[in-house]
Amino acid sequence: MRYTIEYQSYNVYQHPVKEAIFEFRVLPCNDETQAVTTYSLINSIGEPVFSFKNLFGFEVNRIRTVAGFKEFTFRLNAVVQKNESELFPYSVLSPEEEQTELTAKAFYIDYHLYLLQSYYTILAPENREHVLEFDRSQPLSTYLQLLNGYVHSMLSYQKDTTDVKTTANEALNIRSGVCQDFVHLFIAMARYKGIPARYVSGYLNQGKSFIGSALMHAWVEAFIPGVGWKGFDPTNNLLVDTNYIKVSHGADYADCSPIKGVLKTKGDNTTSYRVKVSSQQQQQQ
Amino acid sequence: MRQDVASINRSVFNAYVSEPGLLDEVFNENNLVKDHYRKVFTQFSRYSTDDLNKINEYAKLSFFNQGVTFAVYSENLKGIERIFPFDFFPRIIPNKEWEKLEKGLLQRTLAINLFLEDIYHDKKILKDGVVPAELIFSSNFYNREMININPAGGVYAHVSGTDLIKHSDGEYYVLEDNIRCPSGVSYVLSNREAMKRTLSNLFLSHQVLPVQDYPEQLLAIIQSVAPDGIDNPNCVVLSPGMYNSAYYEHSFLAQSMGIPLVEGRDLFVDRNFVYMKTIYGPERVDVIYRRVDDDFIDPLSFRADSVLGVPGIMGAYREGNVSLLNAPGTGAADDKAVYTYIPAIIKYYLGEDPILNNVHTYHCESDGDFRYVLEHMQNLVIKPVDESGGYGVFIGSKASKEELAQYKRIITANRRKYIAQPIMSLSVHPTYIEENGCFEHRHIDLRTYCLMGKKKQFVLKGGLTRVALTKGSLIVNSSQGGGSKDTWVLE
Repeated sequence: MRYTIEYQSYNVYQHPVKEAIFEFRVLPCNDETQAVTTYSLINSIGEPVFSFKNLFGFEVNRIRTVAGFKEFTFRLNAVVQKNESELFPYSVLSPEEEQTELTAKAFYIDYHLYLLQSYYTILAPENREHVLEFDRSQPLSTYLQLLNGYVHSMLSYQKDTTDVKTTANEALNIRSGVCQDFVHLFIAMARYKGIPARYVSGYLNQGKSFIGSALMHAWVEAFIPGVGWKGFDPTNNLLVDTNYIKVSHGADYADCSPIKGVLKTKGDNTTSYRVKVSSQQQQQQ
Repeated sequence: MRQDVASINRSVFNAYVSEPGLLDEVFNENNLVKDHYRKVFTQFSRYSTDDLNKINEYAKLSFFNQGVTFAVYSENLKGIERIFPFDFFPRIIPNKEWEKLEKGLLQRTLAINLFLEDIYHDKKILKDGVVPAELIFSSNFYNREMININPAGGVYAHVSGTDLIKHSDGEYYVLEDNIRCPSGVSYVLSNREAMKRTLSNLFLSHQVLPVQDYPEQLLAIIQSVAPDGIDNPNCVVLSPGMYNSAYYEHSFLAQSMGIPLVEGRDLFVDRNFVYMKTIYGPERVDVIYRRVDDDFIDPLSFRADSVLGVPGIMGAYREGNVSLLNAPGTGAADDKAVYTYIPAIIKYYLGEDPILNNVHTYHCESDGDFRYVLEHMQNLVIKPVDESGGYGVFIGSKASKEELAQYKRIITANRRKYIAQPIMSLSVHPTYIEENGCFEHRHIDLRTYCLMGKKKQFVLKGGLTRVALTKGSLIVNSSQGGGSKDTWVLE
């Protein structure tokens, strides 16, 4: 499947910005399931875009400017080739073998970034009883699929009840949130059960009626010994397939926030986004 | 009464009483002056209180003239500017004693650097179970942004400040390692300056190893870790600014090394390189001796509210375009809980026995140790693992019943945060007490400075002898009412 993706952010500032550095994590990555064929990054102030690889190995794009401006537009256009193969996350090891690996000391050390709870994923002690029980005689893949549905049913999808700072614990208390909150809650529960889980940001095929496809989306990757990292989308209660175009992953949202900036300015500012994802198959229809 | 040199006036030592069980640096167990202090003692014994007061005033004047001050943090956030109390009775370390210390410090610093490289790469020492992985990952100073970064020359801790004490058994013990932004070295240099100005004849009558080459050595270390391919690196000292307690030192070091002193707002990152704003336009910066804490150096990577750092600098660092001294994340090895594993760390990487002693340490995190700590609180010093500067330290023998009970609650609530050690008896040293016009003994320790660069290493000869000026006190930190002495290593 071939996708064309357009991401655009538009910032308006009350007073001119004198000096700024922006950071973007919006460019799809290359991995075994997808390849970026072409892309362009354009910004309204004409500064060159530079990039570095972050600790997870993803390219982060940056722009620095000292030209005063009150409006700033940033646009990504990319074409991504997604592999057709749909590998569903089934365990290949026996539950016993899986448990042996999950509880090994070296495993904990190798996957500590995805096993240690963080600001977004710590649950208050009274909320930990809501963590879905893990029957360890069952395959891990079964638990993860159950957890996907469990988290999906635990929160209702609502746009204005949470913000980018909301933790899994807070979302659980109000039983609602957006994709970011579903993902943090899934990650929190998986980690409390000793399963490595990470935050993934990316784009969703807009041709299907998925929740969260209007803007950038978030889902989970959990680690199944013997299989590897597999994607789960608790917002839609779906398994990740060719409809999902990955940008980057990290321990939580803080590692994947699409746009960040340090600016010298005063007063208010507003940001609006636009995301367009279309698949070539649809264009031909 | 001292029975040593009968023919001279010993009035300024009259009140000097030895206390059994304390190791005196100057007098032996028979109250006789140790050989290496003989000349100093003889000269001081000839002075009257008036003479000593004069010397003391001269010494103070030297600090005013050099402008050596520091700021103390208190409830109100702006520091109070003070002059660091200086005691003119020098501490003398015989050469043989020093040689062992120097070897031990180099061994320790080398092992710590190998440890840091390991925990940010393969983590072999954790997998081999020599150091508990949980201990490292739960440290506030374990910095995941450092994972798989390769600092120039494999060096992380370029500047280390190791604190040593001499116990009543006559042995030196390491109390703690300071490998984030250790400070105080400027006092070593200004103490020496004050000593030369006030007691020049006494100083010249000894063969004292120099300390004034520290800035030169530091600059060589800084230059040695420039990014690959940079022959003539542009180096700067990055300070948090004038409200920082060590601002004097930052400006002193920059000035004596002849490199710019900058603050975060003077630097910026563009296309993954760091630049300094100058009147001639941007100038590329290759190496930064930064005295800004990890949390504050890059608002894009760490604390977003920091205005002390340089947005984007971690990206430039990750790409290998700038070197930072010390590397971020070194604090994972100077955590007081990790301290207890340093002997094992030395053995693991170097296959050698540690040259320097560690103080036995109890981890409140472990159940057995925790029980011992609760039962023996009055005989222990209890410290938070992640604080420096003597903050939050509890000394069992000095605590009231209420304080004991209160502290018990504090450590029970957060066991990972606390370690306990037997109360070490810091050695004592004659110290001039202005109010009494005579010498009295006060507890001292020794802050040493060890530098490590790419194929270069250096230990400052002596270091900073810190004095607990309050009678009987064991806390020598400048922020807690400590003073210091010039420290002589004899040739």
